Amino acid sequence: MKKPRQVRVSWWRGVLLLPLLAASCAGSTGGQTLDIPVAAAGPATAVAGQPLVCGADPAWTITVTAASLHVGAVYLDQSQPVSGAQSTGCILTGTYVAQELAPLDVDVLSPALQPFPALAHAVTTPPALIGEVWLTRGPVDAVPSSTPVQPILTVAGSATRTATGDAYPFTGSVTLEDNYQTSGDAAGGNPICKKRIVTPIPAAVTLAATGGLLLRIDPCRFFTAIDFTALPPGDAAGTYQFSDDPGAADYAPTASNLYANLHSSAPYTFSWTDDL
Amino acid sequence: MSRTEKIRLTRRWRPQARRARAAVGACAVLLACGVPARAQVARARTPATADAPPDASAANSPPSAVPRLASPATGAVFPPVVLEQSQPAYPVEAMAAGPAGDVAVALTIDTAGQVMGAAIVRGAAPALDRAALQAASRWRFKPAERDGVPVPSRIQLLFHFDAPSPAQVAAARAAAPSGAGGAPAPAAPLPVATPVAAPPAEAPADAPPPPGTPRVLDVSVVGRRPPTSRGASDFQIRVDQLAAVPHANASDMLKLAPGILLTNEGGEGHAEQVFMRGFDAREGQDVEFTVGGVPINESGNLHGNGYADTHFIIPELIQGLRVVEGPFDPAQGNYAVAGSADYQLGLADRGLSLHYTTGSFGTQRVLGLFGPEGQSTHTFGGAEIYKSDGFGQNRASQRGSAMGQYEGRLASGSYRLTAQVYSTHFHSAGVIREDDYATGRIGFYDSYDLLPATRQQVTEGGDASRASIAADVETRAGNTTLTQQLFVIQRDMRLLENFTGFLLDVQEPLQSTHGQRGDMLDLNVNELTLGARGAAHLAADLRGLRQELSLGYFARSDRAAGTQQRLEAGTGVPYQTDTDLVSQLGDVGLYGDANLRPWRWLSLRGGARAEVLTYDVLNNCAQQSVAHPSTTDPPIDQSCLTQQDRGRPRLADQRASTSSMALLPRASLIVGPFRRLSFSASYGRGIRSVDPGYISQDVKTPFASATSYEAGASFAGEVAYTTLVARTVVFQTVVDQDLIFSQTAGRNVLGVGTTRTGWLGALRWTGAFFDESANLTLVKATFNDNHEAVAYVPGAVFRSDTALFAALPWHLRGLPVRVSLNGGVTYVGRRPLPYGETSDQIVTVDASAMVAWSHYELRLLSTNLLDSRYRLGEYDYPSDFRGAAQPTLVPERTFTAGAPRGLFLSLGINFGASS
Repeated sequence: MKKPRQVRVSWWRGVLLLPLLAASCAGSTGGQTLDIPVAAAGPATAVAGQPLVCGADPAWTITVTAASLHVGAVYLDQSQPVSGAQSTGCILTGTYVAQELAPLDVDVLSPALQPFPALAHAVTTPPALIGEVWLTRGPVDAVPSSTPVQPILTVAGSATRTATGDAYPFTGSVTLEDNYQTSGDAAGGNPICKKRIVTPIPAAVTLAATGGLLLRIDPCRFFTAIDFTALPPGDAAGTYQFSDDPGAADYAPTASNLYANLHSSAPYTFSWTDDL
Repeated sequence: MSRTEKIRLTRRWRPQARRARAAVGACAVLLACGVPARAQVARARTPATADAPPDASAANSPPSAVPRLASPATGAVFPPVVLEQSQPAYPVEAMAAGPAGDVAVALTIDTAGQVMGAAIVRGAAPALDRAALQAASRWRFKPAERDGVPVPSRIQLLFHFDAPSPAQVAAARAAAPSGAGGAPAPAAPLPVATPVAAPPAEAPADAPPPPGTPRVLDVSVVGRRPPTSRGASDFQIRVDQLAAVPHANASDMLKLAPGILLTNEGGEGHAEQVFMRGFDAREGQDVEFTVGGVPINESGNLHGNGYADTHFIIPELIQGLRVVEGPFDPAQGNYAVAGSADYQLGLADRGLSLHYTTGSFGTQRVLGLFGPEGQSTHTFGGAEIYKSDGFGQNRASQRGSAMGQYEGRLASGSYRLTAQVYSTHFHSAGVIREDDYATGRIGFYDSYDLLPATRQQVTEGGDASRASIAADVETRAGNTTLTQQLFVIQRDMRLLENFTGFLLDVQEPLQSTHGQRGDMLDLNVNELTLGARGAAHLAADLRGLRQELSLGYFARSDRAAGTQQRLEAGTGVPYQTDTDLVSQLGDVGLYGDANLRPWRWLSLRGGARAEVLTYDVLNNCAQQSVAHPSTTDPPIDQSCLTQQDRGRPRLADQRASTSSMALLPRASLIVGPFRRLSFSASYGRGIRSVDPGYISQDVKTPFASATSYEAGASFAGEVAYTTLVARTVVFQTVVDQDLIFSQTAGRNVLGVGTTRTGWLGALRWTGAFFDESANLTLVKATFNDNHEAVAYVPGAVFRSDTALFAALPWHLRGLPVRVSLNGGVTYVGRRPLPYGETSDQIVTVDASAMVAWSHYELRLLSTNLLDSRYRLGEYDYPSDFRGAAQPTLVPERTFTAGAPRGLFLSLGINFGASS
């Protein structure tokens, strides 16, 4: 039987090489650089293929039959949100610690993890404190962000008024393009990028070499404090539709609240999962 | 008539005492500036050997081909080398009268190295003269050589006799034979000759030799007082044959000292980033750079206070280099935190020489050098014109440089006048993101400035110019040496750099709506420096041992005006002012430095330096943001605001001034030599003044300080007819405020304290046909607060420079043909990068081959002979060069590419006479 080949290194060569080997261990600056998987999903309580029933509002029972959200990018950042009157720019100060730049259309009625098409680039230090969801189909400053123009959010369902039992079938979409761009000298104070970026979202997650980042989106939170009785009529008789034009007379209060809920941190939750 | 060929050397040599009881014997004053390591070995040899003019093999890599041409008639010359010396004892017969003084003896040395003639040039007393002649006649030499052939030579030695003490006189009398026939008393210890700094030697008068007398080579020596060694980390580097190893520029010569790594992300006209013993000294901010004592560091430079661009130095005019790795010499001033580097200029070859180099990347270089016949090697002129398309994209450059120096003799010393002018225009490729390179979006040697998505109207690069004049004088009166230098420097620089792409131009609330316009930084500085330095050096003998004391000063005044703006990518129009400063800076240092020898084997060197730094800074853009701007007159897009919070009016500018003093003790202990081994330990504190932009009114300490410790051992001696100098050093340096590079600011910013601990080993081995320099440095650099590694500092750096040279065994038309092969190897270990990353290792090999005959020299050079594709600089920070639909905000690896293999051909012609 053939013996395995033995490789020996002269001891004196090892002694001579030892300083170089030791020095080749360059020391650590702390932390790690990782490429991590990222996924998005609807509420964990949702049932795949089934409408989502939202009962948190005692005045309404909302059954969401369709909800799709286009997420253009996801970021984690070390910055604490700044309170007070001072506005912030679209890019926060401090270090961004994770970025998922590949877009994803998320079925927010499905509890299944829907992975983003590319890994996210991340560093483990400093620790993440907040997350951002960028609702854009192209460059966040560009108007239009894509051609043809497409909505960021589409929803459909039916809202039943608890007091009367009346049903309000509804549809809606939110498009964040020139319809949301402010004109005038003060435009810098409210640029389109701020309209498209949801921030700050609490995200005190610890990044690791195994597992991945999970973004759960709860569509029930899109309809917080919405009076469906104020919805304008839709195209089909007996239906209602959220306006997608902030300049239209029927935009407020319903569509305004829909956008405000979409743009708030409430529907979004970041966590670390071992299922990726 | 004998043809006199003068070899000018500028180091004071102290011969090594051979007997335990004896003091130092005779000395010959022959030393080159810079006290090269090799010269330390020359203690037992004539110093002339340590300063032997290099053979015609010196060269640098393109674009700087260093010429060292054969003299058309006489060829390369080496002076005689001492093999055995004899020290005269004080003659007994002179004890009663007790004369003292210096005796100069001229020796004629034959081709066997024997003394065939000795004559008194200048005597002191008959008995002393006889003693000196007798001792000198017993010296034995390796003969002088011309073109490798031994020739007779003439050289001067100087013997100093101290007057005997009364005790010694009494002992001598007691030892005299008595008429009573008693046993003679033991010989009393007699005073022996002690070394002194010899005055400039005068060449013996030429007289027609008798027919058949071989031509004798006169070796005439003048010297300047060399700096006192501070121990194992004091590297006095004589370039010599190693000039033939390809070196791109003057900064590259630093690699002859241990632990040096050079990178450059800014282009040919941008100063190199210097890593020295674990320090990221950036573009010289932690290293005090001088050329012949004239400062190179620029105080008030916006890119980094202490920025040091050495590209104006023509490498062929570098004769030596003194690198002190650590703040151990009281003469070291501001910026000497990691250490100091002083370039010593000189041109050994006399006559007029022209060189033309061409090769890869469209490189062309024309160099003219002139060394007047009969003048010192420190009298020279040089001019260089250079252009290159550069490798890859956006790396073209052009430069012109001229340097001249004249050294004149005084009755008791010498003076020098130096002038230089330099100008360059260059482009830079900038950095490359690793992910963009990995996906094929950009090539390894490409530039974002030319990529369609990130195209810049004004691409990276810049301009620089420098002009300076300096005058210095050194005189001696007895045991006192006085030096004085004045200098004026004018410097202008423009840098265009973009490290972050399209990241920083964030929409602010009150600005007009805009997207990312680009982060191109346009920095301009204009500086004027006036300064002076001087010292008095006193020497005295105590118990037959030389004791020295130096008192010195340094003063410089700088006026610097600097602006930094950001340029819009598509138009090149500035859209934001980051900085606008006008600074008046003062720096005055006063030091005392002693060199005490209580015993022959023990030297205590050191003293203290007091440094005063003053700042008067006018910030023309002091207010750049307000929390609650005026609602009726919002600043909109203004960079420099004329309003405070809630719209209260103010002027845009603000002045701040401060001053501070630092006391910097420095000391070295040197023990030995014992059998050619010496041991040393050193301690010192150094400072680095902070950027004027950090100055606020009356801030207490406008400088960072470092404390350094080290211990080491050195060996210097002859081994089998070769010269070997080797040393090993362990060191540690603690800095209270380190400089950390900020890619967003485009320059260093103050950070927290750091500590560097390490070891270095170095050797220089020279022989008749080879010159080898090798060094290895291992270092660990950590932050003091969390003990994490300091980014970008290499843990291991190895460098080897090798030169092989010889005269071929046949002659062509009666003249020898000389050849040389030269190589340099660099290894850089992995460097820690931010966020737990590490860089690649770097291995590069440079080589050259040279043939020289008569007036001509032909050289073939290759840089990066193995054509390694390597990342010269590696970083990890956020940047966005539009590689994705959304901005890339998370730190990512970026790098600057090292040059691919380059091949260059250089032709040189010498129209002059000799070397």
